[in-house]
Parts: sequence; C-alpha cells; structure tokens
Amino acid sequence: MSMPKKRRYQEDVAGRGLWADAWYRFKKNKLAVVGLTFVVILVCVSIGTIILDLATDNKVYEALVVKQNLSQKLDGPSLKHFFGCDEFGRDILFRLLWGTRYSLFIGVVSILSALIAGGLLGAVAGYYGGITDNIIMRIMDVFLSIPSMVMAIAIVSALGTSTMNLLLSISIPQIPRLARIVRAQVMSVKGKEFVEASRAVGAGDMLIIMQYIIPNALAPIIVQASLSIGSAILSIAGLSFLGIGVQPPTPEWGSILSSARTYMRDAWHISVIPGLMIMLTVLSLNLAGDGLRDALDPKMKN
Amino acid sequence: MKNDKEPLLQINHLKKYFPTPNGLLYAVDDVNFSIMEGETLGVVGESGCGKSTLGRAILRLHEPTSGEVYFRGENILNYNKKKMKELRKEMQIIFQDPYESLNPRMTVSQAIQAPLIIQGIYKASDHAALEKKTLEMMDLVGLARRVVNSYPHELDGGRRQRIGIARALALNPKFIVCDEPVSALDVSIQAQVLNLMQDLQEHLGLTYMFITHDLSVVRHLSTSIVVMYLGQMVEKGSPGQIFENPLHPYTKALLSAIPVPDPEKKMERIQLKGELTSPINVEPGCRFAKRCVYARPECRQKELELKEMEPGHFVSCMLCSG
Amino acid sequence: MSILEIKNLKVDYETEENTVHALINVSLQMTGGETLGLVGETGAGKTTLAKCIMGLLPQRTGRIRTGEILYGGEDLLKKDNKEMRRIRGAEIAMIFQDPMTSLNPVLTVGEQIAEAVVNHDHCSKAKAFSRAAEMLELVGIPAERLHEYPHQFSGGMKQRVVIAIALACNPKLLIADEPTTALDVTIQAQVLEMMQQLKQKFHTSMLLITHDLGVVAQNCDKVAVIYAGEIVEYGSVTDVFKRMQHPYTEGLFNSIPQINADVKRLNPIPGLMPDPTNLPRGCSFSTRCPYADDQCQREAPELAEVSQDHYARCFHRR
Repeated sequence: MSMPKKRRYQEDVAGRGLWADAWYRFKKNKLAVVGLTFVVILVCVSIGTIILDLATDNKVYEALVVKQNLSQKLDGPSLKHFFGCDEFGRDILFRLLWGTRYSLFIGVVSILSALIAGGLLGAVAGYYGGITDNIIMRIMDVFLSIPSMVMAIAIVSALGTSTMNLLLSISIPQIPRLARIVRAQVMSVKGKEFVEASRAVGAGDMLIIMQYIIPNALAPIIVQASLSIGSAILSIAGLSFLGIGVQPPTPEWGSILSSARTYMRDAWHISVIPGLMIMLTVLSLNLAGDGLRDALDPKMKN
Repeated sequence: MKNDKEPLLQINHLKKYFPTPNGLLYAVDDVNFSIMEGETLGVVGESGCGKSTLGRAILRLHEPTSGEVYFRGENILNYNKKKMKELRKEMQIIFQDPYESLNPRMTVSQAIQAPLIIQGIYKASDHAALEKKTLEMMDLVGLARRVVNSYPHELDGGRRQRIGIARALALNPKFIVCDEPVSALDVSIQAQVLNLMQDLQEHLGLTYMFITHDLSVVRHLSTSIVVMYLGQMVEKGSPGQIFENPLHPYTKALLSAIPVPDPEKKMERIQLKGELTSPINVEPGCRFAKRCVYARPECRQKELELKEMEPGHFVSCMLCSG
Repeated sequence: MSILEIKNLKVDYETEENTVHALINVSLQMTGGETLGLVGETGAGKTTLAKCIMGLLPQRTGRIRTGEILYGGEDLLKKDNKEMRRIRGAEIAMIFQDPMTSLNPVLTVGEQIAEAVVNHDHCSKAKAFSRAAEMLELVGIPAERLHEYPHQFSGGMKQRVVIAIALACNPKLLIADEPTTALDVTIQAQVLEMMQQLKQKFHTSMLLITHDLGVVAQNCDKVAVIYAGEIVEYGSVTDVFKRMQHPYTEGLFNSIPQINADVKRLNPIPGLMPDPTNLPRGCSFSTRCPYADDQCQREAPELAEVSQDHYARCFHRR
C-alpha cells in the first residue's frame, strides 16, 4: 500500500513543495552554502582519487603517496610541494587528498548505520511506549554511560584494527544518541491530531509509522545525523592519532597528525595543515547541518 | 430518507475513565442518548466536560471503559479490528484544529486520497479514478481546484478546515462527529463553513454529532441538544426547550454568560461561584453543586439521574425534579 | 480630554520575499476612562496596532512608514527604548491573549506582580509584595496564593494574575489583546466583569481588542472596526451596532448565529480578506461587498463623518 502519488494536475498552481521550500531557504544562508560546497568538493576529491587508483592500478597512489623520498624529509611548503613534505619525504598535499575518502566514507557510513539501527529502536520505543520503551531505553542508557572513545578503543582492541571494526567502533556509540532523538520525535508526532485522523480512516500501525510519523519526524533527525558525521570524523582522527585507527601507510588525516607529534617543533606544516584540514571539514559539516536545521524549520520563516 | 423506527446511533451508559497519577479521571461518566438518521445532536459544554472524549470514544479512537455503542442496531464495541476498519467507512470525524489535523507533508489531493487508498476503495495506481474523486470532493466542499497540490501551510484556516471536511466525506460516511469544527475560525469564515455543513447534510443525508462550547452555533444547527458538565449530562432537549426554558442552573448560567451583540440589552448574568472542579476523584452527588448558587446539602448526597420534565426535555437536578 | 491619539499610522512588515501592508492609514482617539473596542478578524491589523502603541513591533521586519501616536501630547514613536520602558507598565500596560504562555513558569505569581511594581516605583521589596497581595485580592484571588506558581492556577485565574500585573502600577491606559478568547464563556463573563469594575475604580482607559461582537457590545463605550489595515467604521457602540454604515460591519453581524432568534441559514460574507501583500486598488472591501460599483473599485474612500461622532469609510452610506 503506497502513499498516494503527488501528480501534476491541469489545475495545478505554482507553489513550492516542502523540500523545494527548504532548499530555497538553505540557499539564502551563505555560510551554509559555503559549508556544503566544501563538503561537495571533498566528495569529488574522494571519488576522483578512487577512480584514479582503479584506473592506474594504484600506481599513482604508490608514487605520490607511499613512496618515501628522504632527501625531501620535512621540507616546508614550496612551489613543488604545496603543503610541504612529511618525515618520510612524502608530499603532504597528496597524502591529504588520498586520505579524504577515509574520513568521509567512514564518517558517513558509520552514522548511516547508526541511524538505521538507532532509528528503528527509537521508533519502536517511541511508538509503542510502555514496557517496550522502558527496555529499549534502559539498554541505550547503558551504552550512553560508557564514554564513546573508551568504547571505541575497547572494540578495536578486542576485535582488531580493520576498517570494519573501525566502522563499528564509531557507529555503536552513536546508536543510543540517535535512538533518543528519534524516540522523542516519534513520541511528539504520535500525539498529533493528524495521526489520530489517519486512525479514524482505518490506517494500521505500520502505515502510520512509515507515512505519517517518520516523514514529520525527519527534520531534527537529519540535522543531528549531519552534525554527528563531523563528530565521527573527529573520532576517527582521534583513534588514528592513538594508533588504533587506520594503520600506516594509509594517509588517514588523524594518523598523519599522530606522526607529526614528534616533529612539531621543527616542522610546523606537518601538524598544522592536516589539523586545519580536519577542522575545516568538521566546520563545513556543522555549517551545512546548521543551515539544514534552519531551512527545514518552517517556523523560522521570517 | 429517515428511518423512524431505529436510531442510527444509540449510546448506553457510556463511560471513559483515564487513570492518572493523582487518581481516576472521570472524563465521560454514564452518558445516554440516541440520534436518528439525518438529525444533528448538539453536545455543549465548557472545557473539561468530556465532550471531545465522548466523540472519540464513540468512534473507538479512545476505547470506552464500559457501556454500549449501537450503530444501526449493532454494538460496535464488540467488533474486531477487521470489522472496525470496515465500519470506519460509515463513521467519520472532523477535527477542531485546522492546523494540527492535517499531515503537513501531504498535499490537499494526497490528504483526500489517503482514506480511499487505505480502505481499498481505489488502488494507489488508479490515477484517473483518484483524480476524478479528488476533484469531485473539492468541488463539493468549495475548495478551488487550483489548490489541489498545495500543502496545508500554504492555505488559510478556512481552506484547511474544508480539506478536513473533504477528507471526512471521502469515504461517504453516514455519521460524522464534528469536534468544534469552526471554533478556530474567524467569524465570517465560520459562517461559510457552517452553511457548507448544513448544505452537505441536506444533500448527502448525513447525521451529525456537533460538539461545541458555542451555544449560539448549536441552536442554529441542531435537532436536539445535550449539555454536559464534568463528564455527565445535565440537560437534554430540543433547541427551543433549552433556549426558551433552560432548567438546569448550569444551562441557565451558560446561556446568560454569552455576551449579546446588542448594547441596549445588558446581560443579567447568573453568578457561578469559583472555578471548575477537577474531574479526578469526583465527589458523590451533583458535580455542579460546589458552584451552584441554589445548592442544598441534599445535592451532594444523592446520585442524580435525568428526569423527563416535559416531553423530550430531561434534566438531572434535584431542585428541578424535586 | 484625549489620552491617546493615533494619527495616520502606516506600518509595513518587510520580509525578504515581499512587503506586508499591515496598517494602511489608521487614526484613532481615546478619551480618559473610556473603553474602546477594536473589532476585526485575523490579519486585519489589530495586534500590529497594539504593538505599535507599546513600541513592541518586531525590529527586524516592522517598518513604521508614517504617523504619530500621541500619548499625553508626546509622540511615542519618537521615543527611544529607555523612555518606552519607563512608559510600559507604568503608563500603558498590555494584556495578551494566551494566559498559558504570558506568565513566567519559574517565578511565583507574587514575584511577578512585585517585579512590575519594583521596576516602576523603585520601592522596597516588602512594599512591592504588599502591593502584590492587594492586587491579587482585587482580582478575586486570595492573597495567600502569592507564593504559588502559575501552573497551580487554572486558565481563568492565570488571566486574572496577568490583569493584576498589568494594573499593579496603575496605568492610565490598558491594552487588552483578546483577553478572554482562550477562556470558557462562563469564565470569560467573570473576568470581563472584574475588568470593568477595576477599570471604573482606577479610572483606566481600555483598548479592548477582540473579534467577538458580543463582548464589545457589553463592555465598550466606543468601537472601531478594522479591516485589511484600515478603520472602516468608528463611533459609539450604539451608533455602530444599531445604525451600522459600513457593509463589512453589516456582513459581520449577518455572519454570527443569534441565540435569540431562530435563524435558518447564516449569511456569511463571501470570499476572504485580501492578501496584505497585494491589496486591491480602490476600496479594500470592494471584492466582497454586495454594494460595490465601479467607483469603489477605482477609488479608495476616506473615513468620513456620517453623523455626530460616527464615521464610516464607504461611498454608499445609508
């Protein structure tokens, strides 16, 4: 049983739909647009490097990113090496470019999976209430009481340092947070009169959750999710910094930062520039997330 | 076509209690009435009297605590889920708040089509039939066709309420609970919508239960009126009887409190003492006694019943019935 | 003796998308001790007018194009925020519609009344509290309830507290924006009666904003009917209600169901109020008026005197 389709009728009048309206408002927020643009650029860079690797069978990767060249060790920024070289003489700019995919990919995938798992749990808890709600939320509380970094470290230490485990360790601490938000939203929408109206025409629980509650609960959830991606990236960087994230020679930003520790005094560029990169990425995601929240909230219209 | 023999809807000893942390909330307490097909029952009372809960309990949007609801002679409280869903085609509701009762993510056409698809009257893929029915309903309720793909937030209160009415009518129901359908609208729009509802009733042979706090609206539209206070019926009668010869002190107070738009007719207001008492853990006897200027000690002791004072005019008051 | 004089007030709201013409050309006068009813429907401009008088127009979007609001001979629109703060509460007080959200939930009602007193009289806390107790008794609430929080009161009682706060500093003018709309009809009657008594006791003038014609008839001396940002009729309550001149006023009366008469069918005004971003040329009521002719659609009528102190904005005065 599907949602009645929105079709163009002859008598249609031009009125913006809800998403078009939101996009229009988003565009007016200059900072949000800048943030979004930066994120889009990063996505293009990731895809670009992946394609390049596939096309050249990792040859370019080997040459630009992995190959050590000790004669250039710790060279500062110059025309030849835009951001300078690291302790193994590798060009930092290229290392950063190839490292984009890890932050973005792991950040997005981990939050997406947390969203699905947390969303499901939160929706069920919020809709059915009572004992179901209690059981689910108390389990979530247990997870929330463990600091996310500690949990991440525990998971990676127990299961090893593969990408999959990294994803798990970032995603699991986010599940209870997202579950809480989804639950709160579902509870608030559940009581609204239009949901009652749908029951009055005979709609069943599943239909109500899928077509009435979730679409109206989305806005804060989307916003929280986009802001969480920023925090996930910081977590990945943190884990790599501690040495239990992505392993060398993979150019993940956090691990670049980690190895820069020893050389901070002599070579500022090797710590400041990757640090700036991380900061700008998280900032852009936050700006875009903020803009999204403002754009989706119809009450903020003037 | 009026069926003079059997009422379309009959309510017997309907009760709805809500458990709260402070005690039991007697929202609807032993309500009895019947409505014949094609008539309008006005249910009047102020906030907390239980009228909205009553409307929802009849439709089983809140499950009644006890009592019987007979629709076309059958007790619908015994219906299982499947039969209830079938029944929903015949019993519908129009809500008070035109802002809250529409799904903000659905256009006008989606809102009107949703009941049709949910009840399986048309398939979602049957675009032509759905479009035809949608436009038909919009014409019926006076919605300009050009708003067919508009979202609720783009329209004013009066138009939104018309969408609510179109949605309620889409399934061709026989009985509609109207829960304060015009209270949230401006005066001139109220009149438009009331006229519309009257026309639809004549045109389609609808039966209404019209819930409101506004006595003037109820006089105009109802064939009989029930006055409620704290979950109980205090008076029942025809509009003429209630307005010309109100018996219960509360009804008298209610009528006298309505400001008359005539500066030369100053109101003789009947005083009510204090504020509304709580419907939680009610005391025995008449629930209005605390505020009634005529109250005597006996009022708080005996449980009251509706007594017929003149044909068709019932009141539950010791002073009136002796 | 005129206490408030509004002259040719024109107010717009500027948004990024368009300009909303909230008030076109409003002129009003109030004398001391009288109650002026301001009647209109949603979007007519009643609340905008109230906010202008109080200096509470939203800064980002509100634009006062022309006009004066003279209070005690001085133009309120020319005063800065500091001066207005002195006036608000002490000279001109306002009561809003929704008692549920007008009170601060984390302060006791005594504290809220006392706060108003202290702000203006600069007296001691003890004195302010004793005045708060006095005010509570005046509005019919036992003084012991000074130390209770808003959530412990019902809607009607909350509104009484709001009135107590408004009258605590003995203002000369009280603006009441739909003060009883959210209340039950029996409570409404109680609250309005109390307001009338207090008004007479303190000789306060009141601007009563409402859409309820019954409330106006029973509580006001004069009435102004506002439509699409303009005053379309103005006069004593008897003149306007008994000898109405403007078709909109007539239409409003025809729209309300009468409890005294047995009316078969209502006579609503067809159509809707015009879009304030796109007002029609000529008379703004012409699109819905049964008497409208060419002149009405071309020219906008002025507010003209039809009889002693009774004005209407219409070419077709009867």
